[in-house]
Amino acid sequence: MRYQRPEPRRNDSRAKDDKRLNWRLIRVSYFAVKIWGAILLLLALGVGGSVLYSRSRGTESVVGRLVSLARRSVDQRIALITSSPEEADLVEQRFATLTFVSGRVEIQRATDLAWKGGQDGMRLASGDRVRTFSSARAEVGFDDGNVLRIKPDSLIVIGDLTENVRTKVRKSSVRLLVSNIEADIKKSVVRGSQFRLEMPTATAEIDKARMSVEIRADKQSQVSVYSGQVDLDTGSQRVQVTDRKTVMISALKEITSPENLLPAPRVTAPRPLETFPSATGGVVISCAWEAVSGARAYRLEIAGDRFFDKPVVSRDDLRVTAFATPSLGQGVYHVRVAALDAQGRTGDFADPVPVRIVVDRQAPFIEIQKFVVLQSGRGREVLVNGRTEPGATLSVGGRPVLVDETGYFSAVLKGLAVGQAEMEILARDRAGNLKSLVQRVQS
Amino acid sequence: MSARSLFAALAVLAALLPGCRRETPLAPVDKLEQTANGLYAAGEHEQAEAGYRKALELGAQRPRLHNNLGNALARQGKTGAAQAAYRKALELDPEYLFAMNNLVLALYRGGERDLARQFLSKAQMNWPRVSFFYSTDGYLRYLEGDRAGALAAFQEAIRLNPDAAASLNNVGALLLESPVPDQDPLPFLMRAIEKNPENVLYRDTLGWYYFKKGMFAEATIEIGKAFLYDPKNLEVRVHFATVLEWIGKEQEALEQWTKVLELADDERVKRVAHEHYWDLQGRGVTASAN
Repeated sequence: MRYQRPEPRRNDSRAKDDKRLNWRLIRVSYFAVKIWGAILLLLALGVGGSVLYSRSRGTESVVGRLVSLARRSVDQRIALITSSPEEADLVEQRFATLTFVSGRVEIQRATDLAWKGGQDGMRLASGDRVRTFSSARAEVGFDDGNVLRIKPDSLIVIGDLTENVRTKVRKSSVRLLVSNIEADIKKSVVRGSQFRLEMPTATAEIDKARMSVEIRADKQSQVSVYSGQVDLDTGSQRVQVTDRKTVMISALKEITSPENLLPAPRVTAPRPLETFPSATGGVVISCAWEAVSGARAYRLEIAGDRFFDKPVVSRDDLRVTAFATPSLGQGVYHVRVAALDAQGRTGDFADPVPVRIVVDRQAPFIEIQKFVVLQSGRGREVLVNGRTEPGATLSVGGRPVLVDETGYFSAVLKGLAVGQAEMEILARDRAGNLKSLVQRVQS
Repeated sequence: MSARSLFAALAVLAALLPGCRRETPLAPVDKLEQTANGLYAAGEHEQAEAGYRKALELGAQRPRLHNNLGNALARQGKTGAAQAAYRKALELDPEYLFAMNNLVLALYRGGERDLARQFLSKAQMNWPRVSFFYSTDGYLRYLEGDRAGALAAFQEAIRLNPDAAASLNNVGALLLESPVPDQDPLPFLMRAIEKNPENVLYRDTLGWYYFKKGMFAEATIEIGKAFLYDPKNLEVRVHFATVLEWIGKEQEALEQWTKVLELADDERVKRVAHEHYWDLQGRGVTASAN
């Protein structure tokens, strides 16, 4: 039998041990146990409740925001530790906002598995997903003015949303899955800022552009740039797509050579923010635009909302550059026009023109301040002045009299017919309402 | 832990907490300056001037006091006296850039445009990386009608300081006025608001951008906020009334136009208000009984 030597003790603390508390001899009162139990229970309930609340409300709740703030702060610290010295600038997380929702639009938070209904004004953070169902639309606004319009049956993921605290450079990215979107990316205030769209087979770096992207189920993508510049990169091929060009990206990451798109026609009528008064409640708006070379036809849309979600007029067979709408009722409308090329592709839309139709069934007033009949050697003369509704046209005895912008009019009418006893003053406002006044010119 | 060590730990903790720290009493000059600053911020420029003068009388020859006195004087239209105060501040500290910038503006307002330009050029040459000199340059160019020059100067100010809120707003406003802008004003306007969310003018400019674009809901929010912040601002009230008309709140719009007609001195503003007032009246819109 081998003798096992005892292990040497590094520190003989027997003497000290003797002075330690003997836990078995501590007595705790029942009252203290009750108090501590209640405190611990309340604490557990508070923590549990907060977690449940934050999970149900996502980052919309205060608790959820605190949790996400803490998580991001930890992420930032980790990024700082793991990044190279050049990248060691602190980055701040930003948010995007769901600025428009129509139809069934759902959001999945980065921290949640459940999809929830999207609402106007909802904040979107990095990692959040947005999906639109058929005939649904959504608009995502970024804090630098960039806008993403999501068409029906689309799914997108909010990617990077950061700002470098030192350089102020902002980076935004959005991952497009099967989707159809329009993007309006504005030139950033800070140089070096970038907006990136990640498609299944390519990435698009955008400095400033108005564009649309359609990603089909077979992973083919069509990228159309109406204005600005987009750099496409598939990993094996790089292509720069500029003003009014469209390309296809195949599932095998091949980019076709850019084809031309037609420019936006300039709308000449109606004028932006024009008001159409109507006495009947219906107005025919005359639309006109400048011709676009190479256009086979034009697409005209008029809608009550600026998203053209439900157009009241939609024509894509217009062969001429003018169109009179059917009678439109009271309200605000937005008018836009695009040219269609020989292949039927829609070119760039002109900036929507907002107009409004107002109902005016009230006849204009006529206030006569002076109406004097003078007898001179050449016959009778009438001196008349007064006020009417600004913008109205006025005639006195059938002769037009100028009305100034404040509604004041003044005229001297000569050569009254012999025997003429009365004179009619007629005002017609912009809506076509009439007001007539008869003045005696013979005593 | 003994009671003594517990007490010591609590004392240390109390000393570390800012709320528990004993505040050092302010010197009379500092007190006067602080009060005067408050009065200036509240728009009581005459009383603020008196406060700064009293502080200076107490013998505190601080450049900052002279500069603030200059600001209070400039706000009252006492341009000559303001220039003297800024010069005194610069005498005490020749590298006091705020006073230098203020002197340029005071000289320009006092009609000494060439001298103001000389001062500004010199400042831009000596401190080429100071953003607000370019901002002032842009403002002077704008007053002279040189919009392209103003735009370039404001853009340079932003390049040097991407958070220069006034320049951001001014670039946005200039682009908004331009019939064919080469850049969208929105990123500038949004960033200006982000940097100074309570500025009435920035809100109003952003709201007006939305209005011109036909984004009436957004315009109502922004201009409505600007109007809430400063109901005395006539330009904001004009914009607010216009937006109310477009969103169909015609009765409220009529009330606002009536108020504009009461308050306006400018003939151009009066004409616009008159036109809208009669247009609404002509359509049978009447002001509410309240």
